[in-house]
Amino acid sequence: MQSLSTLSKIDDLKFFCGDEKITIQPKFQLKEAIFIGGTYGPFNSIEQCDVPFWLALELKRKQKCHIIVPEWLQADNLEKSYTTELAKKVGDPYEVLPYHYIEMATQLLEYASDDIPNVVKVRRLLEDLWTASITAGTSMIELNNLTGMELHNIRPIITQALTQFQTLSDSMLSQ
Amino acid sequence: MSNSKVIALLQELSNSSTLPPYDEETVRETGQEINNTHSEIIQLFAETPAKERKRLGSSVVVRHHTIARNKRCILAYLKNRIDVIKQLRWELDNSIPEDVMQNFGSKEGEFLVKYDEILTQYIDDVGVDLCKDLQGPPQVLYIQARVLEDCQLPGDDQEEGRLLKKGTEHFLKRSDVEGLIRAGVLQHVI
Amino acid sequence: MHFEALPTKRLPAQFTANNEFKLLDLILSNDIIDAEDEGGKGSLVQKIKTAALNERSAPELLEYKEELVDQIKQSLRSQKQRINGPFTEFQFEEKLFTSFQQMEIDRISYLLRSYLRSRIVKIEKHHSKFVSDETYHQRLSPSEQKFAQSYTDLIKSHYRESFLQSLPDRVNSGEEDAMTARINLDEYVICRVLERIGQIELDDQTDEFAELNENDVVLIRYRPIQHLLVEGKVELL
Repeated sequence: MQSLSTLSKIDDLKFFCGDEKITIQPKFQLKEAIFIGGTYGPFNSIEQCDVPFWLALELKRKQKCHIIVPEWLQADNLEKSYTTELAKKVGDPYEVLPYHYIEMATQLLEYASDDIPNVVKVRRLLEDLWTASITAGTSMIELNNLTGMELHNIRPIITQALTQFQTLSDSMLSQ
Repeated sequence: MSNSKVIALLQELSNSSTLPPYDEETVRETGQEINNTHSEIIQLFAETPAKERKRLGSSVVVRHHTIARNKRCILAYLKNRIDVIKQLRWELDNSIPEDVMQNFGSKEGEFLVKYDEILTQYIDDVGVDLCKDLQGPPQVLYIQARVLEDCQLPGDDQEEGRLLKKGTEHFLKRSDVEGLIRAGVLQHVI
Repeated sequence: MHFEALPTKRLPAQFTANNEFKLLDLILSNDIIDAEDEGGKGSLVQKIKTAALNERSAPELLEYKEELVDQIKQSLRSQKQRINGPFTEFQFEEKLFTSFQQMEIDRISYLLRSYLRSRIVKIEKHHSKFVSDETYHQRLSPSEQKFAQSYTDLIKSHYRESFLQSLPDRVNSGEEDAMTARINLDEYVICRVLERIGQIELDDQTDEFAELNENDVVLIRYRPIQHLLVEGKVELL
């Protein structure tokens, strides 16, 4: 019953990042809007306000707001993240970018590229960053000093997991 | 020994993307074989005087294992088939195609009916339609539509659909209103 | 969460064709607002999301979150009633937001369905366990208990009528239980640590320990973090 016990797939990852908060500059007026997840607003053209990411994307699609690019997605910050990523060794803690940064960045590039300053540069930096993080994290794991039987035991788990990871990252980048 | 036949049955099932026809014959034959093997054990015991039974050891053990193995294979066959049948119920509800149904064994048809009953009962109890969004999170497209005649939107498990007045415009879920647009009651604006 | 104050009750008195009345002011009553609530960490939406993910990733069935499920259902119902009123005279933005509110309902419904479905999948997978083992039985909602019992009966009678009844008495029972999957508490899970925990014992055989700090994400066997999950100190990803 694969479809019932669905493991986190890309669609789910994209879905989950929808609850992150993001700042928008509305292009319409409304006192406030009540959702189950909270009350948002006031919406007007002089004040910025925070809304869930999914709502920001919907408003953007209807051309009802500008999305204020989060700090971590600004070119100079991405450059810094990239430098840190290159310098780090296997086992160092991952760079502190938001948990859902890739899912959010790909959707922002898709639907709100006109709100992103230096969008070409940002896109390139994101690709570099993602490639670098895969390289630092997983493209090679040292397996010295393991016996044949030990290798045999871990092979299916490790190879499947890493292959899955690679597939995931490829499809994220291609979008 | 029809062991190879039973294994072939399991292989057919696991290699198949659809549900192959239920093999009543092999299930019945395997049952018969288990009965035969069991009779052999009883007979072995009957023919052997009590004090010589020790030397029966391996012949009895082998037969017991054969029984256990055959039984396990058939149960695995049955289980894997009803897993497929359950999935069909979840994904297609009551519109399982006729050609798929034809491959059900008679007991499997009964199984589907009863499974549908207990699942429907659970869904009613909990009041949440569990068979929606099976393929992943909702990605609903909304469209703006003008109402050409008073009408009511389709409802869901808990609520009646909302009423739309002639001459108004709304943002509506496309899947909800496709029928109404085709019927000319709503007009798609953007 | 109070369900009494439905907009339809208040609507006729306040709602006339000419007033400046706005839909979104109307729905400004706080029985559905999901602020950071008293009882626990995070909002209702966050809670059902965590519950769905935990249930999806844990190798065993977790305690049924009855109160949470009821609250979510109540909120969904209230919000649906709010936006399904026969309103017609609103501004473009208000109608637009009605569609957004519907989308939010769809999002939360998906989380609720995922949660309940993961549970049904586990109940079917380990069905006889839930009927025979009191600890596990207690973790089910009454509807789930009913489902587990009916399902177990159904499976047993299917095996019996399709096959087992044709076998000699001495070998025709016992293995239905063997056909249900074992619950493996030693499965690996990915978990995020929500508060500082300090050292935990990984394995009582080898005296292995691990240090868990807030925001750590670790790949770990389920058993050593089982109690931390129940206490809400970690969540599964």
